[in-house]
Amino acid sequence: MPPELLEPVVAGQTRFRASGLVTDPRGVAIGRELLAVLSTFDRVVGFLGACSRELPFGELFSTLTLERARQPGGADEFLVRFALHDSYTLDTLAHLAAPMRAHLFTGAGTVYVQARDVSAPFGYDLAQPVEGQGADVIAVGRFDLRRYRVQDRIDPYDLVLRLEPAPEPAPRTPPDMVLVLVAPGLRDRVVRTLWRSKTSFAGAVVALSGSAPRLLLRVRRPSLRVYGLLRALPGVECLRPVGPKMAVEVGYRHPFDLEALAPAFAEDEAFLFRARARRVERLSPPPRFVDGAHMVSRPDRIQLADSGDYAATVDLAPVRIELSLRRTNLAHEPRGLLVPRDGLARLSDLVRLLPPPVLASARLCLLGERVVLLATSLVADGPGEAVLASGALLPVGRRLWEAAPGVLVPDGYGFVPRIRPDLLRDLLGLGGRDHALFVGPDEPPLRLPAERFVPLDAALLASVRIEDADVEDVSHAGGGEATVAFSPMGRFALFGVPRGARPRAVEPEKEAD
Amino acid sequence: MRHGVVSFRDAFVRPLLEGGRALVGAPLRPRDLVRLRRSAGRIFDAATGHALFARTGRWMPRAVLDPPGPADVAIYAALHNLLCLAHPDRDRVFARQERWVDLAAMTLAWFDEGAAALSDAPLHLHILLESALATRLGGRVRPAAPRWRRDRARLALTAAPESENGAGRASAWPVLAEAPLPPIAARMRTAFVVRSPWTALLRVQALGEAPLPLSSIGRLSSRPMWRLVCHAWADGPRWIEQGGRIMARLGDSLRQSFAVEPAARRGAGWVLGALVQVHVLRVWLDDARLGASVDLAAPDVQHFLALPLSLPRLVRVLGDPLAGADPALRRRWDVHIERLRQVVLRDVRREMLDAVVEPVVERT
Repeated sequence: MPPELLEPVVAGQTRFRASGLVTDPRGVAIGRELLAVLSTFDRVVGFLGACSRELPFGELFSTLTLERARQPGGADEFLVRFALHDSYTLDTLAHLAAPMRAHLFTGAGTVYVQARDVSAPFGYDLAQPVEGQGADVIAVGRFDLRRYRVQDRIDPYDLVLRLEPAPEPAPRTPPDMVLVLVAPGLRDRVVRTLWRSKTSFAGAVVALSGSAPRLLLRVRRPSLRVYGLLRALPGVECLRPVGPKMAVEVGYRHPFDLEALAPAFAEDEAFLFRARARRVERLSPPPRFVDGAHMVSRPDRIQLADSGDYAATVDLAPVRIELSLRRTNLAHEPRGLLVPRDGLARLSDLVRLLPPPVLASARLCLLGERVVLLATSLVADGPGEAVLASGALLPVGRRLWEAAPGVLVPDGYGFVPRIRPDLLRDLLGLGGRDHALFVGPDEPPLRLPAERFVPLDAALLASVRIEDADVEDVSHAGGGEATVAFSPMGRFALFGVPRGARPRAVEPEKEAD
Repeated sequence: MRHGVVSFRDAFVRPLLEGGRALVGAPLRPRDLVRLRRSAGRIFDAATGHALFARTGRWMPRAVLDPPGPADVAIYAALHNLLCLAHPDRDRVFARQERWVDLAAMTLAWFDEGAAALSDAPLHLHILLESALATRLGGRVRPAAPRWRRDRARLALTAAPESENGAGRASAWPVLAEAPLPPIAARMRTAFVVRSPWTALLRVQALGEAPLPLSSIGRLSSRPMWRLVCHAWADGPRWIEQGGRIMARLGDSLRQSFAVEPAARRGAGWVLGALVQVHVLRVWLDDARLGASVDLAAPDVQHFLALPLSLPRLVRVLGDPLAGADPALRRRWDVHIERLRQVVLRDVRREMLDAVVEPVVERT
């Protein structure tokens, strides 16, 4: 068996032979960087793709280094390196690396030691110093030592842009937002179709390298029909936004999670991955969309001519008429009573017969020689109260009906001409809950302010005296606060307490079940 | 002075239950206890029974306890002797220190005997113990009877109303659960509280240095009482510190009882569930602000605040606290979780998972 090049780190060990190793809060020895060695390039892509979906890859991507390297007399291998902060990330990476058959090492600079495994839960350290022999990267396993010379370096940003999206089954339901790249000849027809189908969209003209500028539309919540139409139309490409800066053609999927990569790319750039055209369009600055309403031309607008204002010039005196109260035989629902003063005694007798809802809804207003008793639409709070109007029930005085809200007219009279109720109220200048009372055709109307109406029951009832009940206060039963007072114990207080009984004790630490 | 049957009832038991001044005299001896137990019917007469009933009503919607009897008398005698150990005149008694230890041991035996005889032990014990722990410790009182009558006079009849060192408002005096006591009395208080799991949950500070009695807590099954525990913890402006204290105590208890029986693990799980419920209650009341007056960086507080973030792990064993919640509450809960994410350090979260959540989830 060959000698072991590494020795397991023990718990609590803080000093290491391999430079750059430190312990994380769990006590695991890790380096500043992680090194993954992979044999083929498609495994590199698979490994990074898995990382982009499982880890916060935006931060890791900015520290990513990708190299093709070779051992003396060996084949090309790929070295992936990025920053490592804790052993939790290392454990996740170990899970991701296993299907790609990647070997994981951790360290810093040029020397990397094998990452922790079952036989060394706290990681590995060098058993003895190793010689570099001019190698760029030295990866030390338990039994083997690899010295790599770097052949060339691959820019990770270029890699992201050069990878070709792979086809995937496109979902049948339309996404919330879709970007549509329209060929120059189809521009007007597509815009008109979207406008007619009442789809919300915005557009911008983008300059593509090597071809004429094209219209890029941002369509929000397209209907299934519009979405199907756009996808089936030759010359139109639908792209699905992935994160704030990138979009991939619908029906294709980038090997990396582009949303996670977005923070690593510059703010003022956007990328369109056109899979069928096998191109990546870099838009710098990103397109500024204009609302679709401004992109549609509408030549069929109707001009409206001004009719002019002739109110000041035309004299309406020949057709102007007076509003007057005339006799009518139309039946109206009574909403109030006009009671003369001498009928008040009878009213107080009848009040005893009123049911409670009527008594609650009726209002009383005292005038000079009359009394107005009301249950109009303005004083009724609930929908049923006006129907139970007291005026309909009490056989006393003269009945009033409501020509407009709050406008009371004696029964048997009506207005000529029959104008709208709200206009009548406006003409009388009534506001809030104020009322107007027309007593007869020759008398001027009276204004009844809302505050002069008092509830009928309150106005007619004599006062009732109330006496305080003798209630026993039981609230403190069991609720008061107790205090302890110490009275003298006497000099011989412990006389009679048995001696020596010292059982399980006064040990508080012992737990009782 | 020592209590007789009537004075024990009128001047000690009833004031503890109803409020008022409870008098503590010389410690009760075995023969006093025999006499008191024989007169249990007189001690718990209609008025005292009603007071106990009313006190029970504070915790439970209806009286669920059996009628009080000799076991209750034994518990109250033990509580009286506990207060004797905190007596300011203890140094004046002609006795060696060991005699006080004898008294403590005897009192603890009384308490155990009484607790074993109670039918609905955890709740009943809690109500009796809580009536004493909630009392405020006043000062000495002077006997008012003439000197030649003092020996025969009964305690309740002779105590003068004024106290020597009880200056100031009574509300400023410490309650027994939190008062600084002489070491022997403090150990005794802890021993009592450890034996009463509901009291241990509701009066954590009375536990002293002792861990939470997790195995007893694991056997508590009264849902109304657990609800009361949640409300008691969630009550008041200092709920975060309170949660932190309980979390710290739970961590200590788990560390000390690493490989114990399943009841202890279940108890730990229930305490965790109640703490999560505290968060839910505060969110429900729309009062889950993380105030600036609280030291949010304190480790205990951090652990308490990290608890809802570990909820996905706990849901499997504790159930979903938001099951059936309306969308408005869920939205407020999401906002609360987002706030907690900004406050709680990531390593604290992991440490919590390792130290508290994992043991409960894995083994419950």
